[in-house]
Amino acid sequence: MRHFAILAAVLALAVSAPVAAQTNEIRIGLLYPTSGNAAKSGTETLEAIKLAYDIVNGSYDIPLPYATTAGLPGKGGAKIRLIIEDHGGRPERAQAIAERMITEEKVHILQGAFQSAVAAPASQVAEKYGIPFVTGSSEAPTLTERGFKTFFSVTPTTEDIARDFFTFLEELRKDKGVPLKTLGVIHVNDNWGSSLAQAAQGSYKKYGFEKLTLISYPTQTADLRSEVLKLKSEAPDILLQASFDSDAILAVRTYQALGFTPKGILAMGASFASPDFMKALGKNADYAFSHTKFNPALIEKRRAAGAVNKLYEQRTGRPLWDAPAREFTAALVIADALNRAKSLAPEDIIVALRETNIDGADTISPYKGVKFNEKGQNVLATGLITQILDGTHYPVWPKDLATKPVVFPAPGWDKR
Amino acid sequence: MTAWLGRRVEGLPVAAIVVLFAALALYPLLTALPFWRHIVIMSMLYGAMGVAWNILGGLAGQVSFGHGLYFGIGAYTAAYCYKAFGLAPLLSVPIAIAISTLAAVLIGLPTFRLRGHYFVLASVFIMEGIYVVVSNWDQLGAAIGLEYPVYRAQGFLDALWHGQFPGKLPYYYGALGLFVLALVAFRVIQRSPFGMFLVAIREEQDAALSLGVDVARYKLYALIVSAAITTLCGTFYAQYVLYVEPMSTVSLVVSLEICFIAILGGIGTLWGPALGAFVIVPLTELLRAYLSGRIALDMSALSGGGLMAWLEYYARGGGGNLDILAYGLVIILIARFQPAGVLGFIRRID
Amino acid sequence: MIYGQVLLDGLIVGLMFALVAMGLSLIYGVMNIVNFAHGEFMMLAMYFCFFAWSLFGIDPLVSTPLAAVVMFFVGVAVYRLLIRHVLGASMVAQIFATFGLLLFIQAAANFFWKADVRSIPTSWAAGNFQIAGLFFSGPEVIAGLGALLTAGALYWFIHRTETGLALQAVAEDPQAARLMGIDSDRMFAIAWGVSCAVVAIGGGLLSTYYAISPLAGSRWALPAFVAVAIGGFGSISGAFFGGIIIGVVQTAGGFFTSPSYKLLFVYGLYLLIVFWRPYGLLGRR
Repeated sequence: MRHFAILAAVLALAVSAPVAAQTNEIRIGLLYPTSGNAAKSGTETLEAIKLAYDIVNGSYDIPLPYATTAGLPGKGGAKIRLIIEDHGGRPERAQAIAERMITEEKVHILQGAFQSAVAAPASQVAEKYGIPFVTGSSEAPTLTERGFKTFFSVTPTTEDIARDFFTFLEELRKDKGVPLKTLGVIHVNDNWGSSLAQAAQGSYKKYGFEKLTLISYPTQTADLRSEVLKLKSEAPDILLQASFDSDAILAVRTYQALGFTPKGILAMGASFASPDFMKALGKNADYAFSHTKFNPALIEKRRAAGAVNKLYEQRTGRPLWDAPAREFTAALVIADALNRAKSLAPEDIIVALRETNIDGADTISPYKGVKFNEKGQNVLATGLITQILDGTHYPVWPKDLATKPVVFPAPGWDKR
Repeated sequence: MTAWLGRRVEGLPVAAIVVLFAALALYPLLTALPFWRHIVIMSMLYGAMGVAWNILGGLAGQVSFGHGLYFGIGAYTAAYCYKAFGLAPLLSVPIAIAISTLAAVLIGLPTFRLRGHYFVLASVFIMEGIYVVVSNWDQLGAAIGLEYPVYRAQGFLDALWHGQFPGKLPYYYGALGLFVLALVAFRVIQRSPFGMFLVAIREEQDAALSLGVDVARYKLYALIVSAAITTLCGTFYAQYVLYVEPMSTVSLVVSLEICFIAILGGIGTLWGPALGAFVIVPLTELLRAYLSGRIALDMSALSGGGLMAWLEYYARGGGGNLDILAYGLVIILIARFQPAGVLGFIRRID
Repeated sequence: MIYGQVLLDGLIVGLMFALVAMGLSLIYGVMNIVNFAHGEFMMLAMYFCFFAWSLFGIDPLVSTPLAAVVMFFVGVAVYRLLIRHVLGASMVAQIFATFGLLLFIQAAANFFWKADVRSIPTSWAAGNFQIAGLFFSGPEVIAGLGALLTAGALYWFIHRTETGLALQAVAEDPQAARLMGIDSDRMFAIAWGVSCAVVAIGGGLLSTYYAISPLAGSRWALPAFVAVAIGGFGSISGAFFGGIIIGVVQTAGGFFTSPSYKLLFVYGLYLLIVFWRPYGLLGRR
């Protein structure tokens, strides 16, 4: 009988303990891929997000809002707790994960998802339950075009990226006096790569290009020879590229091997800016442009970039880069909204998100700032175009964030 | 009455079957939490597909790694017809089945001449080929796929027309219906002369041929039925997830998931795939919900480096993928020790 | 001129497919098992060469033969621990066994080494050159030559050594082979070891220029399967030529139409050949 009583007491404690822990904490559900093709980006993104919320939860001497205070001051020092789940890039999981996080883990807000095909169904569920969903990484324009009340995108969309590219090319034409008439696009044949292709297809004529060569390759391709030979035979002036790490390295190696020399390569996404890429290619990585949303050189214009980069490097052994940095900023946007919200009820958090008005200098991203339009898209979101010079990449556009002048056109492979 | 209840359907007494399905039908009353309903919905859906696959793979012995095609036909037809013509998904079903029957014939005729491993590989290559085609087909959204516009239905009939329900219950009973349909179809075939011919083809194809059995035709029939049920499941899937894209429908990955459920549970048996689905699906979902978040964060914040840090890194989850690791291991162990699947274990204890 | 380049490129990539395909064909020929995890052994060899370079500074061309030796024993171990026990089981169980192995090895690679992409940027095998207007990539040419050499060595091993002949005997007629005193268990183990060693050489050669990641092996495995199916299961030379054909067809087909469809040419070719000769060009039942 005594044993029974002790057992009952222990059980009662065990059951009550989690309930007690929930009163002064804020729960954020994170949906990212830690398996499948995007595993690496997903894992590192989670590292950065965790860093962001650790900075909010703890006390750090960094020039970022909420860094020095422990927890959220506007919520009585409440701490943020993360609930993480892997979606592996499968849309059918997105739904179930989002729903579980909302109904069982009772998250106050969802953050995700890297792949747009996953963000779409996940945010549909969030919209159904009225729970806010913030993305710093899913770039499909259709996400915000849906006009959901609960969906907020801090990151620029693929259309914004294409616009940035073409604006940059316009400036190059003028500054360097080089005629740029033909455009090539090579992309991995998945949701992300195809969105870039679509965006380019939609606007290349508007920006003075006469011919477009569109090449897509299968996600699991062993080689890229026929693709590169095709590009070589069409000989576009400029090449836009959307590839993942392994393919990016393979592609550039193949360009060099087959003697394909566009005047410039502009890559969307993180692969051309990643340390793996530069380590693998050495001199051959030089002169490539990347559209990215983070660069350590930003420290000159973004006070906290250096400190955050150092912390990230301490935790993971690698420097901060595009994918994790974007969601780091989104995490701080979330923290800011949570802090300002009248209460932790979803409607109040949504109102707070709508009223977000953060200056770019208070983030580590090149965005002019964070301000959402009525569809939930950050209208101040811009990217950075960097160029790899001597094994490091430097911002070269927009001019007010540039730290080095552009080198264009790129010299041939054998002249490096 | 009691005599009838005591009769066995492939080892399971009718009484038990009645109880199990009653429990299944009443399960949603047990919990209003969507995740737990979702697990059973997916179990039933995959169970239905596993049983359907088993008609061709288990009864007829033709192991196909290409059933993702039929699944995709159901999903894409529903999505495309709805987006392009505003056609109610339920009405797209006959179209989808017509397409999948055609596909079954076009694929079955040449490939059924192959035996054993050759047939399996042919199904792999055809599956991969279809993936290339669909993921480059602009009308079907190519690699991006088709996203359903979200529709807030007014009333049940309106929801039924648009195929989008706000709650999980209609989906639950839809999936249950598919599950029961598949099981009934399998059982009817299993006990019919047609079924016996299929078994004969599986065991001794040459002998059956010499006895005048129209091997090619029967294999084709088995494939057509199997494909049709799988297509129905595809239509359901499209309405449940509201996002149709190549990797989660017409891919090798999906095909393998379907047939592993059947094989793991017990190939060639009625209850095998059902058991397999109810073991694998909850296992995968739960493993992912509770294990996948365990990736090693703060690597270098660990105890100053050295062996202890290394061990801690792995104990904390290492580079991830623990759930897939477990899955692979389970598959190996089953292949090694109990190829008759989970059902084999149970039968041994019996 | 472009035809020449396309052909050359097809040959180079085809030689690598051929190398992967040959090991696959060997196992099937000897014991009727399709090793779905074949590509993963290649991936393991790539990591072996990478760590040999990053920890000890050994050039991958030097560590490739070492990788082959290590993977030989890995292959034997896999045979002893797993494959031997499913030899008598149904085809389904066998498919299962190697498929589970594929998932397990890939997930383990992810777990231990993360999904990072690794590269070996320096090697004796570097540098590109041109001959008669055709572009050659140094590392890839060396890999191609290495593949050719290995193919030759394998062929010599199978047809000119006693062990090789014993393997052939077991492949032809296991009963008769046993009666002749050949230990089929030992032969099976050797077949697995040799198969893994051969594909390990492929991995090592690739590591000189190819990005290494847990998914790297499966990219080469699928076309290799088609190569074996086209060339004929059980025929090493068939697998070799199948690989070359696949490489050329893929590159040419992709170039002359659209690279998005390059794989369709491969699968389409397979269907055509299988219509005409269900067991592949040089295959046997």
